[in-house]
Amino acid sequence: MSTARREGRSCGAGGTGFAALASPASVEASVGDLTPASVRASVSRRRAHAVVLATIPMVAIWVIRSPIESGWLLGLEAATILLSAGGLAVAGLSVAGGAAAAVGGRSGRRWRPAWATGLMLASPLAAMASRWVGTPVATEMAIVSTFGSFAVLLAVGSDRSRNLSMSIVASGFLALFTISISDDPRSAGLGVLWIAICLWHLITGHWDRLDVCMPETVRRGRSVRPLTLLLGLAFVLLGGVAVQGRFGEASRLRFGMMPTSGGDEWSDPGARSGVGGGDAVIAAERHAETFGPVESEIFLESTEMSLFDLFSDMLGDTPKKNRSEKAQSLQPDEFLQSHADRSESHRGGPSFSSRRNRPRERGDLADVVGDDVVQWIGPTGIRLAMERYDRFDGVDWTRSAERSRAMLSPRKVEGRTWYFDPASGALESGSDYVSGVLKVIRLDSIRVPAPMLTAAVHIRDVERADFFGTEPDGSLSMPGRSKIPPLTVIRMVANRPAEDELLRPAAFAGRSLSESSPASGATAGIDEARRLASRWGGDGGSRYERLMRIVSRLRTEFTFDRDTETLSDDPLDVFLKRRRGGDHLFATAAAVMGQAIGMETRLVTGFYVPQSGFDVVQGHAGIGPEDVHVWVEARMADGRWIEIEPTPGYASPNYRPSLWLRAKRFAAAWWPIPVVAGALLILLVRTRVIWVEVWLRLMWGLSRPFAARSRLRLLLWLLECRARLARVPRSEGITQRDWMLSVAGIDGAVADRCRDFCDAADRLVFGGGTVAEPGGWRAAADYLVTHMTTQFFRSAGRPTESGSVE
Amino acid sequence: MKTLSVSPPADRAVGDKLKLLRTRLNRVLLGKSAQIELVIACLLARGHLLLDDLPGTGKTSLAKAIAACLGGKLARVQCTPDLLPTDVTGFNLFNQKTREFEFLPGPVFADVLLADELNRTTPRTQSALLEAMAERQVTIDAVARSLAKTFFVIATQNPIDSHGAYPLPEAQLDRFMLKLELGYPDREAQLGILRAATGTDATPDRDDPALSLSELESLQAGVTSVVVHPRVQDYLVDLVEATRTHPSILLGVSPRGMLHWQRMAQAWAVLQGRPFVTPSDVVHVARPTLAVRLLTSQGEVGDVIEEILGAVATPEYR
Repeated sequence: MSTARREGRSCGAGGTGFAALASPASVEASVGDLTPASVRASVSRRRAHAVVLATIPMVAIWVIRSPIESGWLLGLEAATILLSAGGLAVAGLSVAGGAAAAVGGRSGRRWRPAWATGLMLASPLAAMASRWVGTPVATEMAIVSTFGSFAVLLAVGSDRSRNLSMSIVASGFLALFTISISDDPRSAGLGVLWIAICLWHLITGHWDRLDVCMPETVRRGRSVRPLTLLLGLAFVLLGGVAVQGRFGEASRLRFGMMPTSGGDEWSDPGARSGVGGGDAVIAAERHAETFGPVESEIFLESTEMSLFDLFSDMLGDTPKKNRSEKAQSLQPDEFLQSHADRSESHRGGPSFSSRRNRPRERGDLADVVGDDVVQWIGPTGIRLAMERYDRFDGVDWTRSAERSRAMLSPRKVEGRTWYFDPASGALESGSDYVSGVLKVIRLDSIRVPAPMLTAAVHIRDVERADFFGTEPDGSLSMPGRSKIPPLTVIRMVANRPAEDELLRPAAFAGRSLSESSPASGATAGIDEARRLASRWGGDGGSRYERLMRIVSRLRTEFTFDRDTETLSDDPLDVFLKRRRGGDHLFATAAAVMGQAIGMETRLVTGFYVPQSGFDVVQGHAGIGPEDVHVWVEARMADGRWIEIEPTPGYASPNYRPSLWLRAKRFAAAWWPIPVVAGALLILLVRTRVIWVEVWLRLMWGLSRPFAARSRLRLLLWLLECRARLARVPRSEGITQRDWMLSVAGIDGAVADRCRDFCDAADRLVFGGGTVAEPGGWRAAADYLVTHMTTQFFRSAGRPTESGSVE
Repeated sequence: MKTLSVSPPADRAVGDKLKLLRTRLNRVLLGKSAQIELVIACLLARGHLLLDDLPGTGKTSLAKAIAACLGGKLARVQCTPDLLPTDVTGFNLFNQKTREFEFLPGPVFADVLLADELNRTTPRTQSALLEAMAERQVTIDAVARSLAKTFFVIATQNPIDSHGAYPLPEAQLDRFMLKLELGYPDREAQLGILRAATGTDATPDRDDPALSLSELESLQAGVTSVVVHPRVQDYLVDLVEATRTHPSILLGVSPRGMLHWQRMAQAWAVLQGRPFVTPSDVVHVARPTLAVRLLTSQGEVGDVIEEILGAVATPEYR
């Protein structure tokens, strides 16, 4: 008994699973595949696939190489490869015997090694020749081309299935490689083509054997249910939103991204080169207290740009003031301090005037073109601040000495001493930050150009707390010396607040208008600015949003032009009327308007790192005199100052919105599309019965000319469609006859027509050809099409078990 | 009952006779038309019937009615533990007068044999019936004696009476074509029974058979010629193989069982007035046909059959 059962099981393993599903025809076919002719056909088909697959990456490599290399040499190489491959193919055919023997003859076999050698040596020889000619081929390209030739050799020169597979693997690797090194958008198309052909090859060459164990029917499972589908779509969309905008120009400079870069936020590989080479290194080692080259050429011939020079060159000179004008422009209580500042001119000017002459011709800078003032390794499109002014009297910006000079506090981080500025907030591990390396080349100032909210600085091997401090306006500096030694490399890490923080209602400290009102000077421009601010800023939203609205008006409606003369007594007024001016006027206007809406703002001067300024070859962004820039900072309630960029043409500060904020914005921008699409979808789904019904009837009407059996099949398909639509599908274990009769139930006319139809169908299909087409079934079928509608199925409910039909 | 027949049978007279047979049997056994239809199919398929039911549900009445409707001879054996094989088959008796052995035929030599409570007799006696059922002949003292061509066995077994019961061996079960449960009639039928009991006797008249034995024989011969389409045969084989691989079935359908199944489907098609078998016919006769020959390790046989029928795809109209 148990033996019988076991036997039954063991043969049953092939029973329903295999034997029942493999129809006699397919068994014959699989047996038939083993004949020599069919094996040959299969091999030649697979070889054709392999040859095509190997050719695609070869073409891609040639496309990449063609613009760089000598055309005729490349053509020669390609021709050699094609000729060798062709010769090898003909030789292979002659070896395989058959009709092609006449072409190759017996000599075909003898020539095979020669063709193979030609194929393999074409690329290396071409590479050598190109060096000799003077248009060298990159060694990597020669190697890759040889690899491609190898794939072609395997595909063309061998009948072995293993070699063909190896050729496909090789060409696949090559395709992947060429696509990844090419920035041509067409290369993606080549990749898709390769994958498509490879898939076809797998389907025709391998997967056709699987059909024996394929399930005969596949039931729709939970995996493709609408909810799952929606969840999947939502997941993909969310992922898209999350990575949106993450691949900007600055991203490649995020250290630590590549495993080989080795850097992190505290130690950048960019600073590996230290203070330079040769004499500079020796000087730096011997004089550790200065760590800069003290006797270099650069130092002796002072070509450094002082800040005064920079802004005078780029924005134009300030007009000469007489003594009384100077006196008026200063606050009485600041006079002495200002005097002291003036005596230390290397700390920067005590004031910044918005009145400017037309800048001198740029021609006098021709001799310094290419000479960077500072170099920056880090994100581009950012501003490096040097000086800040917070009081505006209508013409000049001055500083109110709210803060005194402070020193930075040292702290050890991973064995290195970093100097922290407590005013910029603590660096938290989860928050966003900007890190960069600044190399001072010829800057005549003790102020360190640094990104906003620079929290920590570090100079390698320098552990002197007295080297680092902040000026009264909050800018970083190296006090106690006349200037930052040239070639000093300073690493810095800056906080970058998330956009969400700025958008909070209480993010920005309020300041009443009276507090910020100017003591004297031209007020027409300021009044105009305040008027515009209240008009442009609107009422709604947080202070930041209102300021952003103002800034966006400035950025879109005003023209940036540094060559404009603003010698008027009220430059701001002129600027607002003409809507044209230099970045100092944009910044002034934005700062005044910011104050008008109750924000605490200040003017910042410094450098702008152009977005496209990063020189990949040099490994840094060179910042020259032409990159000086003026912008605005606004004070947040917690004391941090964040940048605002009012000048068109300069990148706005990149405050990263959180994923939640981005999702909200995305939803706000795109909500109509899903809503409309969803409404349409819902409408379509709700009215699907109508559409499907129209479609089914149309099909039935069009099927009239067809043979009885085709229409029979169509009718059953049609009815089963309706049943599925009504959610009462036929289970496959119930015969169609039983199912129809059970659905028709005891409803007289429909049940009778059903019975008529099923009888006729039985006769046609299972009658063994003994009966001709039964009359009247067409009428019954037409009747069923019009009466057994989806609604009918729905009202009939679930069909009862097949046995209940009597 | 709504029959599936729409076109008249090839032989209208035979159709009428079948109708009459149906009517008469239904008059005896009220409210059991579906079972009666299967019994007739079993008869046409030249099979034997096993009734598995409680006492007093009309088993004997049915057997008697069938015998009467055919105008044939009915024999009844009450199977008890002391029943001997010769009590069933008959035996040779030495006639003192003629000084010769004389054969006294047993009940198997009837046209319709009712073996009551078959599982209460010994396996030895049970197996005596084997040859009679399968070969339609008995061999006594090395002499083979043919039984009637239309020989029809209706055996009953009592499910609740397990004391002193000898369960029927698989070999014997496989020789039955169907196993039916008559079950209690519904309320309306029971009222009908009560009414009929006060009136005239509904037992068919033996002298006016609905279907003569010779007519039955020709009908039985006709059943074998009913067309079974290859796709229907495919379906049948799929079903049979499914019974062999089903995890809760100990013993699947044998090739003989498969033949019985096909024959039963053919007979059913004849009853519907069709010269060919449809997949529905196969499904309709599946339950009683499989019930007799499937041995399950767990679960009710009926549930397992439903499971198998539901799992195997039926051939579609195409």
